[in-house]
Amino acid sequence: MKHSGVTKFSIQNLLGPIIILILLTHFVGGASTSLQLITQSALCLFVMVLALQVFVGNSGVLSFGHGAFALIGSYVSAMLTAPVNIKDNALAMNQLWEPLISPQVNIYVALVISAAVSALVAAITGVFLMRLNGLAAGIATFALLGVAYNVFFNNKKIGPGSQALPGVPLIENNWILLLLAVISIIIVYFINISKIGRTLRATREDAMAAPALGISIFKVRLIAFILSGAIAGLAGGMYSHVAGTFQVQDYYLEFTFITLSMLIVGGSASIWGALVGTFTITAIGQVLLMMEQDLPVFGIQVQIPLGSRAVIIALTFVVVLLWRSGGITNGKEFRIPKLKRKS
Amino acid sequence: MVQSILDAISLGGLYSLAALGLGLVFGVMRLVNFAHAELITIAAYTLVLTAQFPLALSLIFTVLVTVFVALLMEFSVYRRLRGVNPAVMLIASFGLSIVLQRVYELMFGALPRSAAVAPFLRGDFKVAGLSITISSVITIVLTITILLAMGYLVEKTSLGLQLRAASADFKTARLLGVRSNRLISAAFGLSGVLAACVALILVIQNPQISPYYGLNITILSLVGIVIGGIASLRGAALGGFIVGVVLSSLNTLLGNGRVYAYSWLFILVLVILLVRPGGLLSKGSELERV
Amino acid sequence: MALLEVTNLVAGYGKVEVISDVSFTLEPGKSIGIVGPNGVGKSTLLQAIAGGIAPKGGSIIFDGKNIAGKKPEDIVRLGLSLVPEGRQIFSGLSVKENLALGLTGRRNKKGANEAILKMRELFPVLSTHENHQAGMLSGGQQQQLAIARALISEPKVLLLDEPSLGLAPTVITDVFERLQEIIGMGTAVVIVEQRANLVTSFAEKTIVIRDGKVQATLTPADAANSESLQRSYFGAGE
Repeated sequence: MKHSGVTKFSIQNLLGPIIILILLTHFVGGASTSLQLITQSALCLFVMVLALQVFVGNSGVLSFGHGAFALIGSYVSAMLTAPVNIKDNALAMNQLWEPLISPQVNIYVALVISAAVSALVAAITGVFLMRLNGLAAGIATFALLGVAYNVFFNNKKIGPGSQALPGVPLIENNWILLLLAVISIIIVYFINISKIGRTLRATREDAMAAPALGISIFKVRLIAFILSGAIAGLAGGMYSHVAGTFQVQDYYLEFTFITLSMLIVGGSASIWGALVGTFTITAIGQVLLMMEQDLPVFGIQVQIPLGSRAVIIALTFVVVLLWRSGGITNGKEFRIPKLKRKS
Repeated sequence: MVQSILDAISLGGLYSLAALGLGLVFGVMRLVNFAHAELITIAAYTLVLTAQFPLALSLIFTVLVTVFVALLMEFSVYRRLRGVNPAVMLIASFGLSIVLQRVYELMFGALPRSAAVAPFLRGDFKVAGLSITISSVITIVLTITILLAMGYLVEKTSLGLQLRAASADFKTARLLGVRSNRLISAAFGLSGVLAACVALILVIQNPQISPYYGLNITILSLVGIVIGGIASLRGAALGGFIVGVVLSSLNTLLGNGRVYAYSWLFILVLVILLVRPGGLLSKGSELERV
Repeated sequence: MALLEVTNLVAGYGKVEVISDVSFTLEPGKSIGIVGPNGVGKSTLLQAIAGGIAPKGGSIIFDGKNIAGKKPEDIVRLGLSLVPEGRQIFSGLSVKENLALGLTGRRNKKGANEAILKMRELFPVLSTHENHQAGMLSGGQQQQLAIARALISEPKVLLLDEPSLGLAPTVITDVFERLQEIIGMGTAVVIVEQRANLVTSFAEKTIVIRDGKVQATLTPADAANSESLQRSYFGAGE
């Protein structure tokens, strides 16, 4: 691989994606109620894709396990903020474990806790998972997702099981979600340019060279896994406050595929790639949804058969990969152009 | 008890067939073809939709359709991705899998389609006072037959030799004259045939076909080929077999806890991978970078 | 007319150009050596000729046809066979199976058994071990197997990439004696070697590659003159 990503701090590289994100949120998110909702969920997905970028983009190891962290983050944040009476009433017949019913914290405290819990789970599982390479690592992370899904789906003592937990308080303000996304960008940016980021990319390009340089692949991968687990947990938490509910099924295969494809379609080597991927796929999905419902898109009315939306999204994805296996951005960071002053 | 053992063996055999299909394709192009699931699904749909025809005719038709879809996949998508990073190929196959699921949904509807395929194979019979389902016996017989046929093909024919050589070192195999396009197409075609066989066995047991019909078995066989040792077809078959037997045994042993069978299986998989990252049949140094 | 005529060949991996301008010709039944320091692109050159990588420029005329950029499986069928660096035998397959794979590249499907018999005569040791795993053979035996496997397609030109690699001196002598026999049977041979003296004394002519270009052409007479050998190898003034 030619692209080793950005290594030196440059304010243009950092501000570029942030400014675009602010503009998108302002113009699209403010346009209508339905667009606001889409923007909000896109912001959550973007944070999730950033989490994947930190780990997958830098290490080159494919992780199917991040859905588990989003699941856990969403679960923690929802359980800590959903009204006691809802947890009591809606889930009482499902024998929810007593101590889980009463705790109540502020949304933002809950989000911090969800990131922390996900990081903890990432640390514990990462100690084992990060010893693996290649396909074995891929399958092992998938096993993590499988276990998390299987346990949460079936165990009604710890959560809603296969049902949805309603009444999770909403974050209605776009700007708060935006702020969380921007904080994530900044964190991810600094991880990417740090020694850990650089070392990880070195191990991606040459797995043999790293041990020769005295670098422990295990250690740097584990650190990246924990950090990206925390961000994925945050993304899951944010999503529960956008959807107003927590449901295990939201974080399984489809979620894993959509977020991974957003990363890869955009280009897994940069934050800019994560942003382009998330918003391209969201936008395509939205346009197609409107077409399915026979609504005008930019004044043009094109109807497509019901159900063809998902075919087209997945097809777009495959076509992008065929056309450009490095993704749309192909590893580049977006820079805001330098202002040249003539003096 | 006897029935449980037969169930375990038949499920193991079934998974090893699915794993072989995945292993064949992985061997020649280092592709984990997630969309193998959709080959099994289309075969199952074809079986159910042609159920009114004589069984032999329906079978031939099913094999043809499945092989056609397998070759179409190779030709339209994977051929263009040859040589790219295996992770990208894996994700592409994931995407292709979803494309096909949606296409099936558009074509056949989201609700399950069903028909009695080979109804005479349902029910059970008694041996020495024990009641045994016909389908488990048929499954075992069919599986053994197919595995033996595959074994012959891989070990004794020129195509099999080329497949084994290409799996070990495609570059050198080509230098010796192995035609890459033909061989990869052959591997896809064979994986289509195996998918049709798997579908036949599955449909006898459960003829409710939805667009996601082949997903579960494919995911589990994928897990199987990794723990068996992805470098060899034997490893793939063995791994698939182990996963099937373990899953079936867990379902029997766990009683009410059987909803957690997958979790135990996945934990077992993690343990095996940690002890032998290259799989049970690996020689230690065959680490693939995917 | 030359059997193999390589003209202004450019080759490399990705964007890196390793071979920038190499030309040489080979007559039927003759031999040519290619020498040069480590990492100079000798293997790249052979891979480009045999189709393992696509050349970036220049032409490779073999038997009257331009084969540059053709697939390796097609080139071997035209009668040009490569024994790759490090032998690359299939260690998990038996000796017999390795030889059988060589049959894949035959133009003429008839005479397969005769071809195998001929190889057994030439390399008797392969017969004794035919049912053993090829990985169990010694280095010299593996090299013989790799050469035999490449010869089964009855090539007009055999390319060898460092046949002496990792072999003991007596075994090397043995391998080169076999090569002499093979040339005697009418097969033209291209040998890439790290050890210049080995091949310079063996081949009718030897080209020296450095900086991606042909720097000199040597004859067996030069092999005796170690000074001229060194000069052309490392360049003047070193």
